[in-house]
Amino acid sequence: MKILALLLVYMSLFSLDYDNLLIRAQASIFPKIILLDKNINSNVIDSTISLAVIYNKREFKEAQILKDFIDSKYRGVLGEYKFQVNLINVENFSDADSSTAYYLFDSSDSNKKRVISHALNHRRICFSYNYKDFDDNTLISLFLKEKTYIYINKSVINDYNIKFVPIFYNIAKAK
Amino acid sequence: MKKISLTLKITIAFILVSMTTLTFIYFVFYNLFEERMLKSEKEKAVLIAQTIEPMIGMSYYLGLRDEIELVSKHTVENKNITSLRIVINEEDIFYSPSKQEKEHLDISYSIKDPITRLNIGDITLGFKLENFNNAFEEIKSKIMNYLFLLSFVFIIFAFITRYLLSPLAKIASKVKSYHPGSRLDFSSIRVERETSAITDAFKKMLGNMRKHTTLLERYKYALDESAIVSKTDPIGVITYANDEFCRISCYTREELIGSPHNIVRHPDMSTAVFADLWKTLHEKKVWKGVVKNRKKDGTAYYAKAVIVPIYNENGETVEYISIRHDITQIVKQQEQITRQVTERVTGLPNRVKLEEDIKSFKTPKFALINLNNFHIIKEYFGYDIGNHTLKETAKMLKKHVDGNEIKLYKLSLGEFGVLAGDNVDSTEFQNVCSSILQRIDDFTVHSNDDSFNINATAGITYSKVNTITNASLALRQAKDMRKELLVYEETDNLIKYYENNIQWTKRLKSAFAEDRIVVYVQAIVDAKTLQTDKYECLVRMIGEDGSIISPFHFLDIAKKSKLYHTLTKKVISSAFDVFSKIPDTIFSINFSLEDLIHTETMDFLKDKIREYDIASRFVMEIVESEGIDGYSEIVSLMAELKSLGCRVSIDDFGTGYSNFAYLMQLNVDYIKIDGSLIKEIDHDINSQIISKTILDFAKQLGLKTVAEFIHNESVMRYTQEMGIDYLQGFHLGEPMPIENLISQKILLN
Repeated sequence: MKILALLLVYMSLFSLDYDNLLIRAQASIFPKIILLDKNINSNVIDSTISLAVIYNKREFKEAQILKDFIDSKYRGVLGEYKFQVNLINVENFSDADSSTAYYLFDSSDSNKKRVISHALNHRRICFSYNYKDFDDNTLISLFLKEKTYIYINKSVINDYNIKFVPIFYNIAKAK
Repeated sequence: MKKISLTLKITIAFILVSMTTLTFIYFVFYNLFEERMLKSEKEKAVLIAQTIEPMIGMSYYLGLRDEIELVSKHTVENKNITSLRIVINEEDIFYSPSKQEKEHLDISYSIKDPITRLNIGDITLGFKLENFNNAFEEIKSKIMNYLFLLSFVFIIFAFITRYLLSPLAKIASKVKSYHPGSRLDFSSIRVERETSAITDAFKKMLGNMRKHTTLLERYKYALDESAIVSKTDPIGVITYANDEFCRISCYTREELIGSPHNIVRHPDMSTAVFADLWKTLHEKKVWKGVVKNRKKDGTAYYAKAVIVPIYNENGETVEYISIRHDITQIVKQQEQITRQVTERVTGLPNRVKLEEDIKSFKTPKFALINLNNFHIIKEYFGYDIGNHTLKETAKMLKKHVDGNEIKLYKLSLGEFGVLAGDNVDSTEFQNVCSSILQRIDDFTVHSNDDSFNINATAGITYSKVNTITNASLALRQAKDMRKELLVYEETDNLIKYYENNIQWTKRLKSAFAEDRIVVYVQAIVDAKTLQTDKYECLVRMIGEDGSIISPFHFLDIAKKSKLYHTLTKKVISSAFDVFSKIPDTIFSINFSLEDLIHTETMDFLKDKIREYDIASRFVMEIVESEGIDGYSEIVSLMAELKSLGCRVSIDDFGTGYSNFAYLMQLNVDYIKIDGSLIKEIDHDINSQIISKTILDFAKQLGLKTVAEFIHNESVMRYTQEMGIDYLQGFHLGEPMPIENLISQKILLN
């Protein structure tokens, strides 16, 4: 019991301040938003939608949690596609990456900007944990308050050139 | 039922039209409005559902339950939404129950998955119809207000109409109170263009009416002056009688009016005429005819009448007008003319009419029909029965003869004429004549207790010239030839025959004048002893050249020329004179039916019997006995003669008329078997059988038989062997002048 308590304290000391509930919510909603892309087929390889969760060494745990949530919820199937979540260390991110969408915990990391740029250039949806990172040109984020808010970065939406089903724009809040 | 005024009618019509139009408009508008508004309300509700559906679908897709909740609540906040229920995948996602609104619209809208577009659930939306109902109530209220307003319009309209039509009512009142002679004044009537036209029209009409009335009055005057005019109501009661009617009927107007029209009906008028009259009038047709009416004093007058039914605008007869012209004078003249061409007894047209009618045909067919022995009927039964016979015969023939194509005439005594015109051919005409003769032959005349048959002979001609003469010639020849019917043929034979008749008449008259009519006798011998027992007296004429002429040649001429009875009397006188001088000799004289029924001849005979007192030697020999049974008086005549001592013989028995029963009533003494039976009796089986039958019959009755025409020895022998009592014939003695008998008897004695 003591060991468990010490472990929790350790974890709380070394872990970032990521809201587990929010991650859960994002794990539930973000894959569905991928499907709202009207041109999803052009970004799908072998009928597989792949979501790349970009993390740095401090975010791995959350990234794993996110992946676990998604996997447990979608069990490798998203709509009519196969669905896989890949955890990619930002340092290992390659410009040749062909994931369908990207998820970033903290975009302030300079390496992550490369990912955002890659997503932007390749018309890939780029989710961010925090909508405040929209300044870094991520596209979609989700925030829990009295209700669930989906934010869409209006300043870059045209740059991403991604066409969502129209009603999505009614649900999402432009930021 | 009281008639409603035109004003009311127009107002009602206006109200009806207006109400109908409004009602129609109301219902059309109501239905359209209701449909449109309801649709609009439904569209609103659907629009709301359509608006929230993608959001709900997307929110559900994204798992944003709170977003669904938010949208739903936001939706429910709409005051028109009474309820909202969102069911996705059979899960009640949101439910806001009904707000107890009375009238609301429920719509259901499908929620689709934003990715797959498959139905994942339903939005059930309750939409309040408050606006709709409010709008409707507003419309209703406005319409009711308009209707209320309209009712005032109607009332005003009614008053205006009444006001506008009031001149018409006044005109109507004026016209209604108008009667001929009064003045129609429209000056007090408000002048409008239309009313002015109407009053002008009435004035013009009135002017025309006056003209027509004046004319009608003149016509009436002319009619009243020239004809007998009366009017009756539909049941025939007189309602009008003009002066002429009063004058001719001798009734006063007061007596006529109110009386049934049959007050002047004459009893001679047949009910059939009046039946036809009423039938015609009831069919609303004009009846025309001649009527015989009776004046008040009972005398008759004739009128040519035209009766016209007068009916009202509904076609119902309201009266009859009878216009009659007095034709009494014409009828009397006509009767006079008719009398001139009509035979008085039979009522048939007479010879005058016949001659007229013959002229009217190109090819007349004429038959002269003579009732045989009619002069005997008339003489024997008397004038009344003779006329009765003619009447009955005429009546019977009228029924038989078609009065259109074939006409019947009554000509001289016992003669009828039958005339057919161009449309009847000669064969058909001859058939008709044969049929007429047959009917006469079958006809029995009944008179008092008597009844007798008649027969007739006809002479036919098809010539237009001397038609009646030619038919008469044919008739005479038919009689002479003992034919029933003969058609005149323009040949020398007939002319010669006629000339011959004339010649014989002259010769007969001359013979009488010159005393060349003589009596011959022929012996009748006892068959057993061949001794002459009796004589038959025969008549002969001595010709101018001294030749002896048989009565065969002149007897018929004598009958026709009315010399016959003189001839009979001559024979009676001579016979009685001679035989009174020859005692014990029986003699017989032949008497025909014409003799028997000729009272003068019979009285002459009775006188002679009484005068000479030789009745016991006198035998009355009845010749030509055919038809004798029709004269019951002959029985009493015979009885009278027999009571005087005379005997009776029947000549020619066996071949001609042989009414045994009747002859027995005559109580005959002799039967003279007909010569034709005796002539060949020696070798003719039939003659033998008949003669024997007669003989048996005579013997059973105790009658004596005489066989005449014994012309040879063989016949004499045979008749002797048969047992006939007496024989007569040339073989036993030829006829000789009666004067010779005296000298012969003197010599014998």
